[in-house]
Amino acid sequence: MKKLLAILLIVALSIMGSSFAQAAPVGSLSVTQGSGDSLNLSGSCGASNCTSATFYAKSNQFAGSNFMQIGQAQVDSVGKAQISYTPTWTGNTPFKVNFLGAGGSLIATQTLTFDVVKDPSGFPQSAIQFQRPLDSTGAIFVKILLTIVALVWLTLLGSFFLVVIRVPKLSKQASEEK
Amino acid sequence: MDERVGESGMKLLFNKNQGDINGDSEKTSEVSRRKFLKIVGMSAGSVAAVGAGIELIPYRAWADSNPNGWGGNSGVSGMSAATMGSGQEVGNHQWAMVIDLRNCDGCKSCTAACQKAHYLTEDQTWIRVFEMGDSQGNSYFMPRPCMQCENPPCLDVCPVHATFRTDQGVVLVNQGRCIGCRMCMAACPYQARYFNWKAGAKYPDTGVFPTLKFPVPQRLGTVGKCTFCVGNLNHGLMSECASACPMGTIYNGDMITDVAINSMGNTVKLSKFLYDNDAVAYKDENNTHPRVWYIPGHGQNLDTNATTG
Amino acid sequence: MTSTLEKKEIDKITVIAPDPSWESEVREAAMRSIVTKPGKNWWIAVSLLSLVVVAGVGAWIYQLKHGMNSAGYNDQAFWAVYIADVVAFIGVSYGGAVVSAILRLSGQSWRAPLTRLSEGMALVTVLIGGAFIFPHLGRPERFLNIVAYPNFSSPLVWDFIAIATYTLATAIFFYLPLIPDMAVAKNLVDTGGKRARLFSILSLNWMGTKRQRVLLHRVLTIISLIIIPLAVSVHSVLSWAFALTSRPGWMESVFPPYFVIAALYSGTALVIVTIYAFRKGYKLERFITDRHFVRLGYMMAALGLVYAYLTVADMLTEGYTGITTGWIQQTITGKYAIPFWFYVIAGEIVPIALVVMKKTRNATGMTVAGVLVVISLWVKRIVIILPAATQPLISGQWGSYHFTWVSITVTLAGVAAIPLLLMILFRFIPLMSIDEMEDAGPLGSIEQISKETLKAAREESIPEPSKEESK
Ligand code: SF4
Ligand code: SF4
Repeated sequence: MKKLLAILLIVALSIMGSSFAQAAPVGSLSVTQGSGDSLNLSGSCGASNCTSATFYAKSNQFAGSNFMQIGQAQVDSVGKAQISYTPTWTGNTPFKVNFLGAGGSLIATQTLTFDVVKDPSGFPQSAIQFQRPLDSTGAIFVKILLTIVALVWLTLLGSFFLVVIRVPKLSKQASEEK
Repeated sequence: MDERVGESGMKLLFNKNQGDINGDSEKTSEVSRRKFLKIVGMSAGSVAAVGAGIELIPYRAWADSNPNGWGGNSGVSGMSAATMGSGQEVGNHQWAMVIDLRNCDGCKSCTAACQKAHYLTEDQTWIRVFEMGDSQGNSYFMPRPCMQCENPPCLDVCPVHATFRTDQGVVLVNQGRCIGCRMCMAACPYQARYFNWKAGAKYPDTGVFPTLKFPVPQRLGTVGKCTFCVGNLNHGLMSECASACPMGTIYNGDMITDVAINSMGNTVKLSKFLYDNDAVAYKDENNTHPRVWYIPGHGQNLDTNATTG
Repeated sequence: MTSTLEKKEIDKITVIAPDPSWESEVREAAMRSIVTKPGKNWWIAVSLLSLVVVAGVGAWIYQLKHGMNSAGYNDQAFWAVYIADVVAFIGVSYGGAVVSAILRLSGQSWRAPLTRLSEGMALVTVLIGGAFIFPHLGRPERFLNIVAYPNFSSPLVWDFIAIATYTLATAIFFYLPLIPDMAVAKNLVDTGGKRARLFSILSLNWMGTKRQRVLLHRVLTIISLIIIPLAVSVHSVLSWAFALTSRPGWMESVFPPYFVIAALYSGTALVIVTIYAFRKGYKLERFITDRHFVRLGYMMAALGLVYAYLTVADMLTEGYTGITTGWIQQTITGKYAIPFWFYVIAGEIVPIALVVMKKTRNATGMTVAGVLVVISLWVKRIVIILPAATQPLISGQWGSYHFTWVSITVTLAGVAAIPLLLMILFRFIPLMSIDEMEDAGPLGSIEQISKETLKAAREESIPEPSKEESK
């Protein structure tokens, strides 16, 4: 009975041990400044059954945000995977890599915090630049229209005041002539 | 007279402030627009599948025609900070929204949360959930906030510049200046504007003076609309509707940092998310260029690349 | 140089033949409203109409206090009755001004007894139409923001500019021909009275010398020339407040001429109604004859046909492709079918039939047609505005607008203000342009003077302008 228990314990321990060995963080991650503004993220998987790697970064922009996927790569024969990533914000940023097996099972994971200093936003000017109606041609059009309006007002008021001023004068003249 | 327009961080994007546009970008947008039209024609089938008579412009069309620009799957960026500096200035954030219609179950929690936060009447559905029919006779739900158009028709028709656009890409109403002519309601193709028709109890004294970003309480006789909860966003919080959504349908995003997040904490790279899921802009054939993207469909299995890590 | 020019002008306008009996008759008739004391009926009418106007102002104040919901507005019926009132009132004003201006420019001397009344109607209605912008706004007290922060890409700013310019032109166009009449009028009322003083100020000490006449004639020609394109632009810009949106039913290239013709059509109709009322009230049958009504009736019928044509053109192009049929269905068979078919019958078929049938081609028949046209064109404005405003742009229900006592009272106040202001206005000014009537001569009021008659008359009567005068 005691023997049986001991065997069971050993079996259990060995199973646990093996699973501990499997879940152990055998992956590694390094972030280096790449060419231009980009960063190189490279990771290596300690286990031999890794097939792909998924890279993540975590923004601190929104409270409650989590790691977001920034790229995927295949693991090569020596267990390495690499992506190039152009950051879109600066500051201390946690990065993470997940190594996945053939069935998509998580084999290894690793995180690292890197201080990003350059963030050329991919947001282009053209994305928000729309011609407003009064840019260029429209502005000229408005000026022409306003000039016409001004001329109309001038003509109207001018003819009104012409009459108002001239008529009494002419009357005076006429009565003087008489 | 209302001088608060010039509030810090709220640079106005009025017509006058726009400098000259360099020839290149103008050409690009011309090309892309033509491409849009083509794609609209070609993808008529897929459009019909989404909903009869609904005008949708796929995000991919835009991203592919701006390979060096924001978005696309490539993550390549061709714009340097120097080129961005010319002409219209880009703020430190460019807010956007993604509405993943696959998730929406039409519970209208977003509408309720918005109305509560802004003390709106029942009719004032700044985010309104429409029930839409598709060509198969099925229906799906479509929440519609203000699209924060990049080329907003409501702004162009406002006679007194009460509607303006901030340098963060949010279209706001200055209720201290609005004369209540409702021309903007006529011009908005999305029915996104709501007037304050009734005086009464629904406008409580909140003790808060209404600001441009947080126009609460609403002022009688002026127009109000979704503000994207831009105050929340600037403090790292989510908009009321997004955080109230039990399904994680609504994502708040920033086009500058290229991040979007929903109420479930799902965090995605905005441009990639839009591209991979074939997001569409609604009624963009009016050249409004919405800042709200829809991911069409209803009830599918999700393959969003979104992760909780 | 000036003398030759003036001589030519003088030739054109000098009195045909001094006809003392005609002259005194005209003076007596035109001054009837000033000289006679207002009768009991006048007072009753004025007080009733004022009551309606006061009620309208009260309703507006109520609306200001309780919000525009009390006028039946809601988010899907954001533009409704007040903007229709603005369009309709400014529209009839256009008719008055243009009838007068076109007839003046084309030298139609039969116009003479009509110009004063139609210009007065134009002035009154443009003021009322402009005033209807205030109930339309949610924040009327901020109205001047349009001046302080104008956004020139907004059609409303141009509406404001156009309406302001047009109002100014109408006022001047009303006042200038009045100057000679004021000179006559000041001699007819007891000197020393308040009215005499007013008249003598307004008459600018007019003596009717040839040079004064030349000046006035020239200025009036210029203003007639300006007022026609101005009125066209007012209605075009008004229509662009609708047409420059992306709403099916409003975004129509036909809208500017559509609005202009509607304005002319309803305006001519209201001219007919106005002259009928004043003819009856002041017994001007001797001057405003049935032939005047018939001529205006012809004009009105022609405009009505053009308007029907534009209505068809608008609906056919929108409806044929089936892209935006919603509002057309609602208009023809749906919610707005009753007002639409009311327009078709009362605004097109019946008035045109009244003009065509010989039996009804008289003052009464034309006036009935005019009343029908004015009412049904207001209804038509509602039918243009509401279906497009209340349509669902995304999905869901059609919105609806409900008339409330507030909006009805305010609108009725506008309607009542037309006769009220006209009745008061013509207590102070002659009903007809004495000057023009005397120019036109006794024939003028009845039928157009043939060129020969005119020439003969002129050769007889024109003394060569003396040298001093033409200097
Ligand atoms: S959705 Fe409507 S209200 Fe919002 S920015 Fe666009 S046009 Fe303006
Ligand atoms: S209602 Fe207000 S915001 Fe809208 S167009 Fe008029 S003034 Fe501008």
